[in-house]
Amino acid sequence: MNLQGLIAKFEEYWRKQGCLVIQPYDVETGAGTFNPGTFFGSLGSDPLKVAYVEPSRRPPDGRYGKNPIRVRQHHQYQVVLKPPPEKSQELYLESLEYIGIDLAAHDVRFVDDNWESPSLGARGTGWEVWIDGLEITQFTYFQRVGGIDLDPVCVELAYGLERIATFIQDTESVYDLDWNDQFSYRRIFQEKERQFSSYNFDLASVDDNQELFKIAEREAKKCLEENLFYPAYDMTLKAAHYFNILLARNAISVTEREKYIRGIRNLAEAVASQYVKSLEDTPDERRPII
Amino acid sequence: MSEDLLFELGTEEIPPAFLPEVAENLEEDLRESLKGERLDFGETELFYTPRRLAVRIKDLQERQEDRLEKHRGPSEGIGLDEDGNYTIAAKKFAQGHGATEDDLYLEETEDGTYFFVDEKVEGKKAGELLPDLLSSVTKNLEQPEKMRWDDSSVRFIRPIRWITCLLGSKEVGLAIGHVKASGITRGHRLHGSEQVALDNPGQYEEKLKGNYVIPDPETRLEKMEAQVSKVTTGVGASMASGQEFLELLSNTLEYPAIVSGSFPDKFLDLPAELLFKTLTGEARLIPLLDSEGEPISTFIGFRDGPGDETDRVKQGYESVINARLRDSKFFFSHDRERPLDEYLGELKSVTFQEKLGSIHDKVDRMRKVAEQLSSTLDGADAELADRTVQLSKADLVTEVVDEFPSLEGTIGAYYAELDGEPGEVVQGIRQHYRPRNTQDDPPENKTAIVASISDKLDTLLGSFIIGEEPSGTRDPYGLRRKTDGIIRTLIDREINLDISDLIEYAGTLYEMEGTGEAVESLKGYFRERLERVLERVYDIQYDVVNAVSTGEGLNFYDSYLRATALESFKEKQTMKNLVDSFTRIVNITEGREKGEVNPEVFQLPQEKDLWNRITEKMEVLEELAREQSYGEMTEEILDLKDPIDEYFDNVMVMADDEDQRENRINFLLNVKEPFLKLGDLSKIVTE
Repeated sequence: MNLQGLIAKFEEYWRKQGCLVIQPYDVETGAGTFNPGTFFGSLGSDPLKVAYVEPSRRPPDGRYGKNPIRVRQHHQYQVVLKPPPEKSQELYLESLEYIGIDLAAHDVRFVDDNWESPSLGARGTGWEVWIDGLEITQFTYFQRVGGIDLDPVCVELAYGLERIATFIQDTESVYDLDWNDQFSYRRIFQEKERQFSSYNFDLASVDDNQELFKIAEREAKKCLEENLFYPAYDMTLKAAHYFNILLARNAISVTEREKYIRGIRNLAEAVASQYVKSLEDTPDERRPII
Repeated sequence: MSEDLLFELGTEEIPPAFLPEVAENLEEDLRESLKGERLDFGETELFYTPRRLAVRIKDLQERQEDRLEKHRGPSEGIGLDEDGNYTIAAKKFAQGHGATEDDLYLEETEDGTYFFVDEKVEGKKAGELLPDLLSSVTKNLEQPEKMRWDDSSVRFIRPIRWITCLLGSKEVGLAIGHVKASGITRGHRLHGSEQVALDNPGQYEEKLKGNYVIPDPETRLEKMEAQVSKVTTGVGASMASGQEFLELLSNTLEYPAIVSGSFPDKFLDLPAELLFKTLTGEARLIPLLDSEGEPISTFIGFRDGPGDETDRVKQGYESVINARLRDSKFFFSHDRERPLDEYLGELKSVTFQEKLGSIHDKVDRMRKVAEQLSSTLDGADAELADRTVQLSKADLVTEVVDEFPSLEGTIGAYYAELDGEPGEVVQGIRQHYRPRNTQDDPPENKTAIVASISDKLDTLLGSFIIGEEPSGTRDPYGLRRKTDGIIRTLIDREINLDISDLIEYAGTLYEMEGTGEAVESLKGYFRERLERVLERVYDIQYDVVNAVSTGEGLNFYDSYLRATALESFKEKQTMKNLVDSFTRIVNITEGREKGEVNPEVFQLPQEKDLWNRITEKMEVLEELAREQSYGEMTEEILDLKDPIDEYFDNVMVMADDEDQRENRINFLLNVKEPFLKLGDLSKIVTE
């Protein structure tokens, strides 16, 4: 199965499970968790099932398009279920069978790996899911997001689409993957990987990105003063992205790193708390769900 | 009447490192709870896999025994009226406990005479008690971490998905959160049935085995051992990782099936520890060694499920480990693009502790402490020690350590070796974190000892200065382990060193407020830990520990030698006499300052005799003390027992004549001297 077929199949499966299917976010994110569908979706007490693809940018992971498994941008298929159904694990495993993996012929493991995102003030208990030793999904019961203890909690499934495709198509390199029957992953992404790695590692101006970080932080705070938590959240994501570029540039010492992370977390926590507050004040029919 | 009980909690995957502990807590708490309810039972059996915790209790008493519960009622005056008839209060009291006034009896108590009644309490059935008991044991179970997974308020290490509970052939009705118990368990997630009905607790292992689950951890481990030795004995290989790792793996599996594969030989060039760490840490695979102890390119892994058709699984693991090793090799080669000492500058940007500066600052301080230490340490080469300390932390900024933090020290040593650093330096870097835990040996070579002590001492003092000293169970920086590490190093490596001087010197390197207090409180902490270490690590009895840990200095090795000498004499009768004499001397001379003894005024032969014996021996004793031959020294002192006894039997120390009294006390203070070299013998408990 090619990659676009794989995405379509996941979408079909989770739509059948009653998920709200939304689109990737149009601000740079490092993982599906940063998409408002998960950040806001995990907060609040209204039941919600949501699913989407998320292109996830991680500048420090870039390898100029030369490493067969490490890439600057990969794709996650992200599902959030709140509250988690009793058969969360089974639903997940069924989704793998739905895309055509014969689980009984392999070795499937839930390997303990608790998740924490200091910059989102979030943490959860969960596992990496391994198939024959290959990590293909993060399966996490979120306990806390934006500094708020969730009630109810939710479960997040973050499928690594390239990993799963590599497994299904049995290729050594991501670039050999078929995106569809006509075009390979190479023709869509390899040159982008090279150029972005070059920019992120070598060219990006440290001073300017530090400045951009400060501007984003300032704008976010300004929005928060006006109780505009959605734009504030976009600015928070932008700040996180500039921080990632600075990381790739190796421009941040360990001490400074803590400071940056604390800065982003403060924004994320303020956004979360304004959002939750607004839910309490909004009547049912107008209350946002993500 | 009794029946067996089976209680199983079906869960999502419990982390293997926590599994045995959580399971054992469950068994223990269940036993305690049943005892608390006065329900007798026979033996208990514990089962666990990543997806279940189960306890089987043999011969659980069907119901509690009936018993009499004694209640105190009104006093005699209130229970009886003037005519000696029972009052309403007395009657009500009796009725309240299911009795009549005829059952009342009087008893004297501390507060006067009162009416009592024995209420008959009927024993409850186990089946009635179990639901609450099991549910409360589960909810209150002590666990290293807890989580929530639904909107019930239950918190457990991982989600509870089913409960199987049978008392004999009957289901026990019980619910925890949203989960209701039944007599049905579940088999292996992919290979067994989702519904495995049990008729009675005895069927547990057998029925599960048919559904690809081996619930008994020992059986599972034995099966794995047998599978491993089938692979290894054929090729004369052995596991490079220890038994503990195999046990850990056994706690990630319900039904182990061995999968053996290989990786390209080119990765055998990697440092062995990096190779092993990549296999064990990243992929939970077992690396193998040939008969010469060299790594080979075959590995062992396990699949959770049946042992047939594992070819695809094997291919999967091979391709994963291939990619992981390629990464490790990439990090390693990248690190090797420049020599280790070119990394030193980067240590400036790595924080040691916010208030204590960077790792680079720490290394600067360590180098000064090391210089001081090597100058007092026999056989230590100051130059080599300095180089060791200088390079000791350089690997913290390498990519391999960034990826595998536990390889700190090990990787630095490899790189130093490849750079052509002297062997002493290489070993020094490798060993300077030792002892990493209570099982680990202290460093062996001199440069490693110097680096290890400088490193630990700097962390200790710095933490004390910023007020992060350990208190109670709080010890976030592992300072207790570091303190014990220094003590064990000095003892095991037979080093005579008074650490107080070094602590004071290290204090001068911190130009911070509160350093003076920190130096003193660290010395106190070392003294406190010395006592614990002597007792726990070296098996010295507490009274001997108390005897040797007095005095000003902090020479741990000397305290240890004195302790072992005293310990070896402890059981002897002569020791008792000696301690008695010493205690007599201590008591009689308490609070006195030593002065000159004038042998001219001795009146009695026992005085002269003891004085001659002491002066005769003094030189020998001092020599033995210098040599730290405390065993022989103890023998010599034991020799003095008779003249001391004679002395006390005949000489009146507290004589009326003031000059005599003064002289005799001074005399005894002189006699006390050699004893004190061994310690405060009055602390020793003799029968």
